[in-house]
Amino acid sequence: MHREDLIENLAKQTAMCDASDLNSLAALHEQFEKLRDALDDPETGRLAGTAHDAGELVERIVLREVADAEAALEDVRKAAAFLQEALEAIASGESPPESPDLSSSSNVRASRDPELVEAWTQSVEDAIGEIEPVALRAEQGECQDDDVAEVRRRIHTIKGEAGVLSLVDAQKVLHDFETELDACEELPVERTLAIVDWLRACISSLQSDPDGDLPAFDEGSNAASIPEDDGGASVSADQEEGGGSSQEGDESDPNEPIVFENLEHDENMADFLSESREHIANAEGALLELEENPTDGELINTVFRAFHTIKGVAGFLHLDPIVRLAHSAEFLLDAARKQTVTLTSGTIDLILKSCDQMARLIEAIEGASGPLRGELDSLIRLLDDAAAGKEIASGTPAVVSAPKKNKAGESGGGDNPNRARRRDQTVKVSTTRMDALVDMVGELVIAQQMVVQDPTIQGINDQRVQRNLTHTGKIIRDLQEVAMSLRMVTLKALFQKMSRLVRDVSSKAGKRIRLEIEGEDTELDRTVVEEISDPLVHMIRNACDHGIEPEEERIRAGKPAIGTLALRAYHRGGSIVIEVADDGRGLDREKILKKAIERGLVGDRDPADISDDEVHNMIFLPGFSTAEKVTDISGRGVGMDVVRRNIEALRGHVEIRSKKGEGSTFYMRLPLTMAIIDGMVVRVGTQRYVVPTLNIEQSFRPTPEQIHTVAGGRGEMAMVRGSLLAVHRLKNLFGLREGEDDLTNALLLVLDANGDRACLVVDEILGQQQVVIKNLGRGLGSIRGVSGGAILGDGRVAPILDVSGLLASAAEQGTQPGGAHVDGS
Amino acid sequence: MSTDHEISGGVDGDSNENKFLSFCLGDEEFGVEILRIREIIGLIDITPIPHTPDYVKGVINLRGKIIPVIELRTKFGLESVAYTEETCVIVVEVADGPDGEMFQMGVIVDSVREVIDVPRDKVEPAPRFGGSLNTGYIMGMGKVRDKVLILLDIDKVLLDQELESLAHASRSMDEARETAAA
Repeated sequence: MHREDLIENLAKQTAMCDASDLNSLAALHEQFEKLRDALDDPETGRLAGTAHDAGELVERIVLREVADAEAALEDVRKAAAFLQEALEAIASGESPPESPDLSSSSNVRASRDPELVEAWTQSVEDAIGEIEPVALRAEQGECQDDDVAEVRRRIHTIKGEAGVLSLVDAQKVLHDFETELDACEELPVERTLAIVDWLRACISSLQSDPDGDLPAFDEGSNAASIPEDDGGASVSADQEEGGGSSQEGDESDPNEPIVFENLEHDENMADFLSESREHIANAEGALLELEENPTDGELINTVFRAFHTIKGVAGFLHLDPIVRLAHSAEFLLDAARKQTVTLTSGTIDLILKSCDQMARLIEAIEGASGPLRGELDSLIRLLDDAAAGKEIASGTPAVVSAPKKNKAGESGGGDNPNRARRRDQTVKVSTTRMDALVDMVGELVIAQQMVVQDPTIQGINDQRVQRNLTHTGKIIRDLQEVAMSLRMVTLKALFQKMSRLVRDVSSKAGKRIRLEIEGEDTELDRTVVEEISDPLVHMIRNACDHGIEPEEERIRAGKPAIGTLALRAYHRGGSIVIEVADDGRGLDREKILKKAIERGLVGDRDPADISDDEVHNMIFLPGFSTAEKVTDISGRGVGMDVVRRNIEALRGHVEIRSKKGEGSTFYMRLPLTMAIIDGMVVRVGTQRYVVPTLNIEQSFRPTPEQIHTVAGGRGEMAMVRGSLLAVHRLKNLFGLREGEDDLTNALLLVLDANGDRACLVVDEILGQQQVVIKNLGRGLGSIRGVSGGAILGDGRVAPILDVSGLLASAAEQGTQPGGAHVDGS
Repeated sequence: MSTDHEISGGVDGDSNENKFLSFCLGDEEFGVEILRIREIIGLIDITPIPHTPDYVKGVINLRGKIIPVIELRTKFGLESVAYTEETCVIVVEVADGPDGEMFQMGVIVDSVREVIDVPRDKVEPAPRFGGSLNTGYIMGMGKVRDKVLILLDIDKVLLDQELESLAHASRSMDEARETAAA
């Protein structure tokens, strides 16, 4: 075998090598590297480590980093001899001898590269952060289709990186776990958590001693479930390099992913890929409609045509697995078309699964790891059975392993099928670049206005010059529009994903739920859409799982048997509102209140005084959802404070309204975009400030009768529509030397920040405009009352007021004139 | 405090390594490593920002990017003078912490002189004046031709909080002297 030859050569070379002969040392180093790669599988992983160390030692000799080159070389010889011996032992089935200690001459292992160690611990930490919640969720019974795939992907990455650091033992543990995951459909929660704990121990061990040994993995009570080594050994080396997609294996092994080989990636293939994606998308859409209307011939035809077309082209391109799958699906649909078979939700389920598998096969062509053979075969069998008229139990097609949405190669967070399908039509651009583009276009507009308004330019009486200027201006305005629209996307893709989710969750829970969607064409900033996906999934899952009652209970309560979940999006006052409304059992005030009192969230208030709305919104409080069994409270509340945090990070707001027995509605209020706000430009003296329009209730010029003073003029109040509000002068709050002192000549803005209301005195309102929020630049730190800066039309900067911070600091400072001083510390 | 080694802390092997931009505050001439300088712009509109130290004059719009601007005179505790034609803003890159992110800041100076090559052997450590005069922000004193250039460690100048107390101290010293003279 190859590696035996390698080691033999090596042994010879080390024997003849001289510490001063750099050429032969370099060759030796190369040999060790090759050997290490050849040995890189779990069975011989330890040996690979030795080979690697020996290679490094040679390198150090070359670089003159060792004190005694001869002694070091002697160690290298020892290592080579050991490797030879060990390989022979393995070949004859004996256990390999102990590895020699190479550290005597030069402390080969003396230092792992601290940067690499740091990088690894960092990525392990990230991985833990991803894996653990998945495992915990799986334990709660909320596992998702791609849980296993996600965990496996993470484990695979850190395994690869452990290899770089020669953490051979860790590599082996991770490899075994990965192999184990491959064989499971459901995430083995206990094992996963054990691995997570062990990884944590590894991190802390590496942090205290980067060169030390890692703690051994305690296999704990699950030792029996560890698969034998030899199962994974033969493929591990390949997996290491090819991310699992280049495995070779027995053709008929049902656990092997399908791999397309010898493909010609020409134009035909590219067309096929993009067309198939479209067909699948169409089919999926039609299938979801078919659920409502299972006998609609036109819909069945649409799905049939999709599979038929895919089959035709795939046949031409010799894509055998696709042809087989498409054929079976087509056969079933044909039967449905001829009405020899009626489509039930079970069969529709099957066809949807076929769509998923088809999508995965198409991804496999592009190099992603494909579905497992066994999965595909059993799916085809089920399709054939269904076409033959055999009963498919509705909602329990458990024989087919749940299609893992395996998009390992793609954007980690997004498992949105639509995004994947349109991959060939979109380009991923980093947001920094996009922001830079938007910034520059903004500047271009200002610069162009400056040119146009320049008196010298305006003095030019040449028609051609003026025409060209106008033309440039128009192009620049169009450019700005496009630049702004780059950030905006419709909610369509997100909502489509949600309709699939509702379908899957409801069929899993054995409920019938009708989803109503409104306003899917509403546009939102791309980042906002990406960020609300997770909270939305949470809310919808909760609504389906816990909000909407089982059918019998609904009938008993006199409600329609089919539950309704509504997903609505609409504009409201400069922001977007997304509603998730169910007609389920609603929140239970008493239970929530009880829990809140237990958690000490109520304080010493009389529970009877707390309004229903306030009680319901308590489920968003941190510390509420961490309660062990939140599902007690009619199920709501799992991770609700996380939902709230996510949404507030987007400068949004979430609340819930609920009526016991009639259902609950989540309202998410979101800004149109992260980068732009509607602002009122106000003036104090010569200074201009931007006040977010959202915070302004109204503005008015007060009459003397409306103003009331407290404590000899030190505090001022204004009567606004029957309520008395504190009056704060921006001039004083910011310590300005200029600005109107006479309130009756000034303007009062009635501000509202999360229910905190007060009046702010400014000289006048200059206008309302959309402004791009910018950071004031580092070096200033955060300034109370100012959230950022905006560049106004004349190119100058105006601070944007942070109304809630401003009101809070005003309340502390008091309102006496001159009360605010420049913070000079 | 400051040694030759510190001065060579720039990019090794770069020919700009020993080059400094010199500028004036009153009669004193200062130098900042050329590698830290992004650009020099004339004085443009500065928007004051509330609740900031007095040497922070505010922020400016540098081609769509907002950056803070400080007045070096105030920072050093020198008295402010009216801006002239020669007054300008040097945009420098500042590193926050040893491996911190670089960000830009504007520095208002009386006038900009020239780019001078200051060989390492012409740099002497800053003398210690003792007492309240902290020289931590001085990299060294460069002797070029017949003048002395105060070479600034711009990170320390812009980010060091100690300097402010220095400014206050020297101001109160000035005041004390004035009172004494009167």
